[in-house]
Amino acid sequence: MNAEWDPLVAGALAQIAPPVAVDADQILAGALARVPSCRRSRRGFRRTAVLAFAILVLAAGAALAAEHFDLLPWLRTGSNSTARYSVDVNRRFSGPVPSAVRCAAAGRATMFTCVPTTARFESSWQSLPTHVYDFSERIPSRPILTRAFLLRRIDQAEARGIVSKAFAGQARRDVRAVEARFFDFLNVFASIGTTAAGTTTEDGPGGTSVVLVPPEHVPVFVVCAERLHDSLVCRNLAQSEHVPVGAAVYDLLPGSDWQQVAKAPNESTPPLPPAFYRQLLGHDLTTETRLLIEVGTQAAKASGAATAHASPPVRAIPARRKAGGG
Amino acid sequence: MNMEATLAAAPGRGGIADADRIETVYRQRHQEFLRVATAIAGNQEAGKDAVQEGLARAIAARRFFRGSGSLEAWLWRIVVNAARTARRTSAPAVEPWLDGAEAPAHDLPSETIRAAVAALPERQRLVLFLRYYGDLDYAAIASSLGIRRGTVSATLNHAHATLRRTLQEEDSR
Repeated sequence: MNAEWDPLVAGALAQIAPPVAVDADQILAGALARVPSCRRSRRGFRRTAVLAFAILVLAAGAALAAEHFDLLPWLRTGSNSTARYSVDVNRRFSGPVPSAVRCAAAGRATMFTCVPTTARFESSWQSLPTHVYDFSERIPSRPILTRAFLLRRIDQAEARGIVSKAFAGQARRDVRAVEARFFDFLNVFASIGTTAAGTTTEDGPGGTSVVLVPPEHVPVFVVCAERLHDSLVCRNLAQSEHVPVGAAVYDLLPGSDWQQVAKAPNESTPPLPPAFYRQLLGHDLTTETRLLIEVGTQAAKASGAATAHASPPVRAIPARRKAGGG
Repeated sequence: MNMEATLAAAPGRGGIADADRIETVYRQRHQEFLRVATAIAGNQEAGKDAVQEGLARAIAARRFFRGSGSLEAWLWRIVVNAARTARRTSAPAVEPWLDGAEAPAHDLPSETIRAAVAALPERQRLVLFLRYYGDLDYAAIASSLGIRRGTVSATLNHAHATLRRTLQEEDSR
């Protein structure tokens, strides 16, 4: 050691930062979890398609037929990895939540408690206990869509040069012309959220990819909006109605009960079925209105205008330890 | 934990710095890594996160380590950079680094020492931390910070002189 050592400086520095005991394994496991080796691409997104719906009704002059619209049947997606739900902007949940929870009863009861856990620091997904969920996001707030709100937005868009004066004028006339009930339906439509999980893959034999899948009955996403002592009260996010703004969404980490299956072609999130529009509007979509929805949805996704948030970053998960490895 | 085996399915394997060597260096020096990162980042949580992030970066980039210097110095550089980034991006330290585990070497309160250290230029702080918390010699510090060995010596001398002067002035009040 050739560097000089000043005892006064050494003593002073030791006083403000003495050595500490640290769990080397925990830091190492956390580092491994950040390495993009065996990754799960989460396509977490929420698509409300409000803009598309507004275009649909405003442009097509559609008559709103449904008196009592039941949303629940339309929250089914038929895909375990896609959760569709509705948000109640009048309900709120706030306060700190743990970064990971274990929900032992997930899939066995409608409502269940989840306890904070650090088990996600395990280095191998096969050594993780079952039903461990990682924090994903909070349910974001959104404005209540009213005639006045839409008119303000049109004014802003025109002022910023986003839309032409002629377009803004026509939109204002349309917004003023539609019946009040239109905004009720618009808010119903805007309350629908969709969150999807990508596949969790790892290298299989011969350079192929295999996909890890959870047991069918175990929810991939849970949403927690209530505290019980040190626990959270949670439920399956899929088909949940009236989810409060600020509720914590967690997604399932691979555990010892996950299985490897052959990789299937990429699936896109299933769109709302035609029957949804039929019940809501009283008739099927015409080709033109369907096209308007597609264009409006794509425009909204591209601009971020109607998407609640951007897709979260790809998150690495602990790689599977190969047989024979330490 | 056999890290290389754990990472065997990772893309980019087969590099010069295999993950097991990184793990070995880390395990030998993990307390020093955490102590230095904590001092740079400003609090223990940020320091821990910086070590974790640095390790993850090193493991992910291990094939880019060409072996021209020591693996430990390469790892130090990555951890120091991660801690500096954490310092820049996080809120100012809201907790003391770490208090109370050792008897003070003199009568000065920790806040005074902290203020004196914080008043040093960043390079002087980094050299001090690597020297006293990381227990690195001149060559290792130079390699870790990408500066000349002579610069390390001069920087350390300046830091010593400034700190001594400040601490003695405070002590005599």
